[in-house]
Amino acid sequence: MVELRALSKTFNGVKAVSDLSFTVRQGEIVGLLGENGAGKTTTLRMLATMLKPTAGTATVAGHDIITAPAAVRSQIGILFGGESGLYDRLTARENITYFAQLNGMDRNTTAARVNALSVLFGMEEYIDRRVGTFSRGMRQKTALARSVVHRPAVMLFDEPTTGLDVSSSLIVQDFITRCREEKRAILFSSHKTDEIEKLCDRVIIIHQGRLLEDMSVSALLQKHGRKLGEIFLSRIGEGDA
Amino acid sequence: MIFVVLRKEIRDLLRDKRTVLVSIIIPIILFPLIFSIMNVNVRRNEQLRDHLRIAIRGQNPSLRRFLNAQKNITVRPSDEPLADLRAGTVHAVIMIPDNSAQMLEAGKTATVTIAVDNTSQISLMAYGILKDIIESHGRTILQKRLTLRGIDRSLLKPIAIKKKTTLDEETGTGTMLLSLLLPLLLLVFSATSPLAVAADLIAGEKERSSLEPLLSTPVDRISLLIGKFLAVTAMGIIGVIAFMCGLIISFAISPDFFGADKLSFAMSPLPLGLIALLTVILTMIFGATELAISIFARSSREAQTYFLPVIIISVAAGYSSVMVDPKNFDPPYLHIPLVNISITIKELAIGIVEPASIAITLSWSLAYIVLAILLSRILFAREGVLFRM
Repeated sequence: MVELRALSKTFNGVKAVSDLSFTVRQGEIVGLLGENGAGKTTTLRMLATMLKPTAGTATVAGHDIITAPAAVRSQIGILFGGESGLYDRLTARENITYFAQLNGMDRNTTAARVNALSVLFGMEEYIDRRVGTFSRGMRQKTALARSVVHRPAVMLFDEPTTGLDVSSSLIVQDFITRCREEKRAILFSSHKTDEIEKLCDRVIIIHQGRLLEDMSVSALLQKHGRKLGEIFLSRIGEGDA
Repeated sequence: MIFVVLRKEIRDLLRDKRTVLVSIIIPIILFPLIFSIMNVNVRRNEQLRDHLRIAIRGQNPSLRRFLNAQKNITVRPSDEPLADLRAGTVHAVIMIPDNSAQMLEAGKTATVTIAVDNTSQISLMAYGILKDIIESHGRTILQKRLTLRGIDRSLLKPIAIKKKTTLDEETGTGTMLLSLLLPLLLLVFSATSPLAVAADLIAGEKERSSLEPLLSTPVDRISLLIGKFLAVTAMGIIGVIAFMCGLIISFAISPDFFGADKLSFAMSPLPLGLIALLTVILTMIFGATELAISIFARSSREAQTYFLPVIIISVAAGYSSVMVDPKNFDPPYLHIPLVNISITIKELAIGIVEPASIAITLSWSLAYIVLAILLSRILFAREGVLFRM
C-alpha cells in the first residue's frame, strides 16, 4: 500500500532523510519511531507530496509521489499533532464538508458521509457549532472525522497525540485502531515508545534520517528482551557511534 | 475548486468580527467621525472669525471709528496690547502711528501695523480679515482724495479683469477637489483594505497549522491560490466601498467642509464606471502583492510588518498625481506602475475619457496582477518558504 524506495531529502546540504526504504501493508499500523529532528515529519510530508524528495521515490496506493502527486493526495488522510488545523469560525460540519469538497466529493455523498461520521465519533450534539467554542477532545474528533471523510486508503499520523490530554489521546488511539480494522494502511510517527508498543504491528526506528530497524514490535521485543524505550535508546546510541 | 475555496474563505472572513470591524465598520464610521471632529473645530474658528477681538495702539479717530463700526470686530481696551496678544486675549493689535491723521490729511501714506501671534491659527486668520478691512478704508480715503482733485477713478484702473470658468463655481471647485483627492484616497483604500485578510489567509493559516491539511488535499496549489486571491480581492473591494460610503456620508454631514458653501461634482456614468473598474484592478494589484507577502511571511504579525512599504508606496503613488495636470502631462508617466492609475483616475474625475491613457494603464495593470500572482505561485511552490516555521 505504501512503499518507500531509497527516499532521501536534503535541506541546504543537510540530509534530513537518507535512503529510507520500507513498506506499509493494508490493515497494518507501522510506527515510525525517532527523536525530534530524526526525519519523521519530513518523511510524512514527502509521502503527502508536500515536499519533493531529493532522491528516491515512494508509491502510495499504487501512485508515485513524484509523477502522480494529486492521485496520491486523494488516497491519504493526514493528522498532525499539536494544533488541529481546524477553522475556528466554521462549524464542525463546515470544516469536514470543506475537506470533502476539496477531495471532489459531491454534495449528497458529502452530506451523508458527514452525518455518518458525526454518529461514528459521537459528535451529533455539537456538529453544527463553531469549532472555536470546542474543547480539545471535540476538536480532535472533528480533525479525525475530517481526515477520513474521503475514505482514504492510507492514513498518515504525525505525532498525533502531542499536546493532548489523556482522554484526547485515547480518542486518537482508538481511532488509529479502528483504521486498522477498516483495512487502511497506517503510518504513525511518534517519539513515544509506549504508544508505538501499544498500537503498532511493526516499528521502524530512524535516527538522523537513516533507518536503524524495521521489525515487528513483538519480534523486536523478543529479540532484545527489553522494553522498546531501552531498545530505542540503545539503537540510536549505536547509530551515533 | 477555486469557488469552493473562495466560498469557504468569504464565509470564514465574514464571521470574523475583527475582519468585519476593520474592513467594513471602521471604514464607514472613520471619515464621518474625523470630519465631525474637524467640523467642530472649523465651526469654532468660523465663530471666532466672526467675533474678532482686537486692541488698538496709537491715535487715529477716523480709523478707530471705522474699526469700531465693523460688526465682526470688538475693540478691547488694553494697557499692554502685545502682552494681551501673546496671552490670546486679543487676536490682533492694530498699531497706528500718532501722526497718521496728519499724514492722511496731507495726502501721504500712513503705515498701519497689524501685529499677530503667528503661533495662533485664528490670529493669522485675523491678519487677512483686518488687512482687507483697513484696505477698504484706505480705498474710501483714496476715493475722497480723487474726488477732491476732480480725477475719475477709472484712470487708476485702465483694465478690468473678469473671471469666466468652464463650470460654475460650485461644480468647478467640487470637481477639482475630487480630482485631487480621489486618486490618493482610492490608492490608499485599495492598499489598506485587503491587508488584514491577506495576512490571515496564508500567514495566518501557517500559524494555525491549517495550511498543511489543506496542502494534503488533491486540489492543485494554483486553485488554492486563485481562490484565496479572489477572496482577498472581494474583501478588499468591500473595504474600499465601505471607505467610499464613509466619505460620502462625511460630505453629506459637512458639505461646506472644504470651504465652499456647497460642493457638486460633474461626473457622467462612463468615467464613474471606469474609475470603479480601475479601483477593482488596484485592489487586485495590492491584493496579489499582499498575498505574495503573506506567503513569504512566517506569521501574520510578520506579514503586517512587510506590508508597511506597500502602504508607503500607495501613498506616494497617490500623491504623484497631485502636481500633474491631467490635460498636460508627459506620456511616460503612463508607464510607471500605480502612478499611471493615479493619473488616469484624476483624468476621469474631471471628465476626460482618453482611450489611449486608459488602454495603456489597463494593459500595464493587468500585467502587474499577472506578475504578482506568478510571484505568489512561485513562492507557494517553494518548500523553503512554506515550511520555514
